[in-house]
Amino acid sequence: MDVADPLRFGQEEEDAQEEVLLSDEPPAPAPAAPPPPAPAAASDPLSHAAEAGAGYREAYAAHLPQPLQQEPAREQQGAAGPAAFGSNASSGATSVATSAPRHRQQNSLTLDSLEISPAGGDPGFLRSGAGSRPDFSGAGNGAGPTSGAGPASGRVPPQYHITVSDPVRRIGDSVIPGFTSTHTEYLVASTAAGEGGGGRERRRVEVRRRFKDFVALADLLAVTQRGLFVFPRPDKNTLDQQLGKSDFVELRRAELERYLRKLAAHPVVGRAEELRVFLEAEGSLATSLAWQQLQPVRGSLLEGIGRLPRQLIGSDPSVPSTVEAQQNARNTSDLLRRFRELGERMRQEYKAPPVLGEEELRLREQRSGVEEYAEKLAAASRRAEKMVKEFEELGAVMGDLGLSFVKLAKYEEEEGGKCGQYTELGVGARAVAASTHRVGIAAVRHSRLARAANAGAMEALEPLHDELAMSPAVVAALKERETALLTAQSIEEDLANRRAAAAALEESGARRVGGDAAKARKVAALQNEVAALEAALEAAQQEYDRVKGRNLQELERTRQERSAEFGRLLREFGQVNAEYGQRSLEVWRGVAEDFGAGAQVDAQLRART
Amino acid sequence: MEFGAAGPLGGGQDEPWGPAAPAMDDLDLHDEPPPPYHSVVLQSTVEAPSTSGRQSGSGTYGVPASSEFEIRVTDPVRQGEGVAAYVSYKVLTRTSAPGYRESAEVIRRFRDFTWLQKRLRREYRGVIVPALPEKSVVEKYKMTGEFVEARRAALTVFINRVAAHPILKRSRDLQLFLEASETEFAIEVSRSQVDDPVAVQGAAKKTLSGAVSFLRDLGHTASNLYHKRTDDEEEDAEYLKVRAYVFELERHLGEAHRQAARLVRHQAELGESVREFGAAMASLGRYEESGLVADSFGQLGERAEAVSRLCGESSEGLAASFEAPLKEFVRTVRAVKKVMADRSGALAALQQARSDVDARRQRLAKLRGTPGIREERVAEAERDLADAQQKAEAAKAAYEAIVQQMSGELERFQRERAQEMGYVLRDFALAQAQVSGETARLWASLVPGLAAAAGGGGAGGS
Repeated sequence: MDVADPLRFGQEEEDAQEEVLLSDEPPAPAPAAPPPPAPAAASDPLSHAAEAGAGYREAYAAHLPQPLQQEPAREQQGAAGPAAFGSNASSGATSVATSAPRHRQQNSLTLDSLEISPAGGDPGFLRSGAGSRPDFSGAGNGAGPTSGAGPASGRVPPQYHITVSDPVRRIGDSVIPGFTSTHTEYLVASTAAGEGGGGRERRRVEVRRRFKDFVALADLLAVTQRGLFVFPRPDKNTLDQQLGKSDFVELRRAELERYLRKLAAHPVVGRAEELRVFLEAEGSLATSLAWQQLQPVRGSLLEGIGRLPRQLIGSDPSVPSTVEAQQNARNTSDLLRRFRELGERMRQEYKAPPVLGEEELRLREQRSGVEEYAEKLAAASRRAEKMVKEFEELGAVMGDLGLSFVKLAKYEEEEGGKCGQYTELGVGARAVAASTHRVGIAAVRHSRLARAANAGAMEALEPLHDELAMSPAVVAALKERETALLTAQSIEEDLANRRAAAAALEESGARRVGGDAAKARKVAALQNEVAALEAALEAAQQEYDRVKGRNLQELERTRQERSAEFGRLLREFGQVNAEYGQRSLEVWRGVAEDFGAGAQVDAQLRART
Repeated sequence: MEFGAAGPLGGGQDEPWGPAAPAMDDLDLHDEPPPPYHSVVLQSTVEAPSTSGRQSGSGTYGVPASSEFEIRVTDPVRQGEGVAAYVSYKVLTRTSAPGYRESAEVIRRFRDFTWLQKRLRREYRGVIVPALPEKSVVEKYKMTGEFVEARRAALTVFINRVAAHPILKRSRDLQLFLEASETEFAIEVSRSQVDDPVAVQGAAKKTLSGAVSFLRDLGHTASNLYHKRTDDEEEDAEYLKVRAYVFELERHLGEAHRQAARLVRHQAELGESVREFGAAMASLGRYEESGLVADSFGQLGERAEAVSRLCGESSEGLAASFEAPLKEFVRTVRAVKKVMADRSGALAALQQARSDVDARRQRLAKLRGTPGIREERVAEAERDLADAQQKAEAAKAAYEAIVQQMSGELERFQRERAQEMGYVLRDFALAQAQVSGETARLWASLVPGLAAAAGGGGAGGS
């Protein structure tokens, strides 16, 4: 499907017009040298229409007083707007669509003065500019299942189709009593694919979630799906929020949607209970019972601080429970354990590097590889973004050039035509008008092509940005495994120490420890601790193995996915650009033919190949 | 015509007097030729290849359709140092015009071109003298290669336009410019400045006369205001339309030029960013385990490099064959406006002279009507009147000469502009078609290999 239809950008509107334009123009041979204005227009109906909209009205409007000017401008927006600036419509994103007409109207109102006309291209600019950034590609993808499924070809189809929409401001109680704080709630709508694929009926669930809930989801996944490469959650961007950036909510909405879609597309997370509950639990998430049941046992820092002195004087056994041993130390209340693990890390660093398994060694190497790779990715992503921006600029400049030419043509025809008595002047002006108009229209069309192609290129380049956004998660997941290993190692170390202590105690005379009874009690206590530690060690090792298994599995999965995604990237990027080149070649060849130099175009191209 | 058909300005390297033939650097042309010219040439001049491949019969911008002259400005050389530094050019002429040597080679600098332009403007009032590139104070000190080259090209266009002009080509100053050795030329230039009444007068006198004419103008304007009439009333209504047309035309053309300049800049920037992107992707490819994707990334890098080169070339080509001509069109329109201002000035002078005549006539009548007036005073007044009448006649003649000259000139200007604009736009379309076609070819050649790569990757993934 991709191969047959390489330019997925704005095919609908774009093609309808483009096709007509392209097929209509060539067969209308420009009558000899300087065609008088009326026949020229008649021979080329569509470009005339475009001209009538873009050129005539607006040139005309320039001479009208302000109130009158509104009228033709609005007309133009309705009639010829899409023709001359169709790219606005073609690259339309669902959510921004409402604001587009206003922009366009502005556009046509101010087209007259060219300082503003770059701003006229703004709707397209902003939107595609936004899409080019990795954080909210979702904005451009509002199109729905087709474009959503496109990138996912070759992998497990996502469990849910998710949209995030309708941000609403809510006022709630603040932390400080008597004050209120506002937050924004989003409507999260999901349609589950159902267990049996397409077999069961799809059901659509809508819930209200706020950003805090997304944070909770991400935190939960980090604990329960330790070692998986989970797409990172959008940043808090508190500053942007507080600066009151006008599009903040919309950007965040797009980011959140993208985040959830990425989660749903993940083979494990997409089926995880956590995501299901998040998407389907009714009412407030924080108070949902199903959600609370999913929460892991996790100690608070306060609790940890209270526990620390007892641990230090020995009244607390300071042996991690099996559940704790399976968690990252920073998620437990055990502060002493954190110090121990830190100490263990230092010890490994400076004294005795631990003997590591082959697999572990390979994985560690891979982590540094991933980090290095991420740098390259960042560079490539930055460059890609810059290129897309430059391309966008070029398209806009081309459009401006076209517009200024169309205007010049209009001027030549109208004002130059008045110089009737100086016949040469009139004829010359009309000749200039004809050729300028031709080139102007071609440039405007080229600019539209460029815009459409740019949207396509941006979409094609998306895997690059996604990959970059993903890489911190990969590093983090690999580090989780190392931490899990460290936990196991430090428990092992602790265990060895206590075993030695127990052995020493048994060997030493009873007198030194205050009698047989006391000795027996101490030995029993130590042995209890040893047993607990053994259990903890086993749990920690299990956890390590589980995380490692996930790491390995994920590495393999991402490797395959990446190569598929990058293949797609390259193919689509090449196709989009080739198609763009081909189409603009046709546009310019048409112009050259009108100038009677069509043969030269082919000669030129042959000469290069 | 025979030159025009042979190709643009002897662009062909096979011509014996092309840049490849330095042997004919006859030293007697320069009186003091201490630096061997060819050793210090900033950059050898290569005519843009885009102009050489045209089919015969189709015109090219900057090459007059029919001219007895074929003039090339080549080999810019930096002379002097610091603030006094300037660039000199070699001006090579080949001509069949009567009274000219068949070929000539002289060294001229920008200032000399300006001198020629000024002389022509003064001598042929009402004629649209071709425009010179702007004097750029900032660029002058930098004197970058690009700037010098752009100026050299513009000077070539200028001098060929002058030489192809039906009236200007008869100018003695043109011949002097094209043939006189440097010393000879310098002497003539200073002599012409002696002849020039404005240049001869001291600065003080200049300001004085300026002030006087300013006051007279002021009086004229005031009387116009008082009588509720304008100078234009006397002008041909059709001419006024043309004037209004030309005045606004500059703005429109200027805008087109501004956009063209932006296009040139952005094309170059795009090329650069494509190259960087390609390089980044290629280096990314080196990390890729899958050989196919890695190879494809490498290929992408190569293609991007080629596309970037293409963009760079295209940008340079556009600068020379699109932006520069548009710029010249703007300048030419300015030159037309200058001539129109001249015409207005002449008309104002005529009206001023007329009102002088009227004033003196009234005075004479008054004197005559005064009984017992001395005969001498009446005679004096009569002399004054005759004087004024003579001046009015002269002003009328001057004005009418300009009007006469201009009607043909305006038509010529428009005809040539329409033609050249057509050439420029056609070449622009051709250049765009070429870049587009090339881009399409480059990227399309990437696709077949990739389809295989993607097919393999997709198969592995599913």
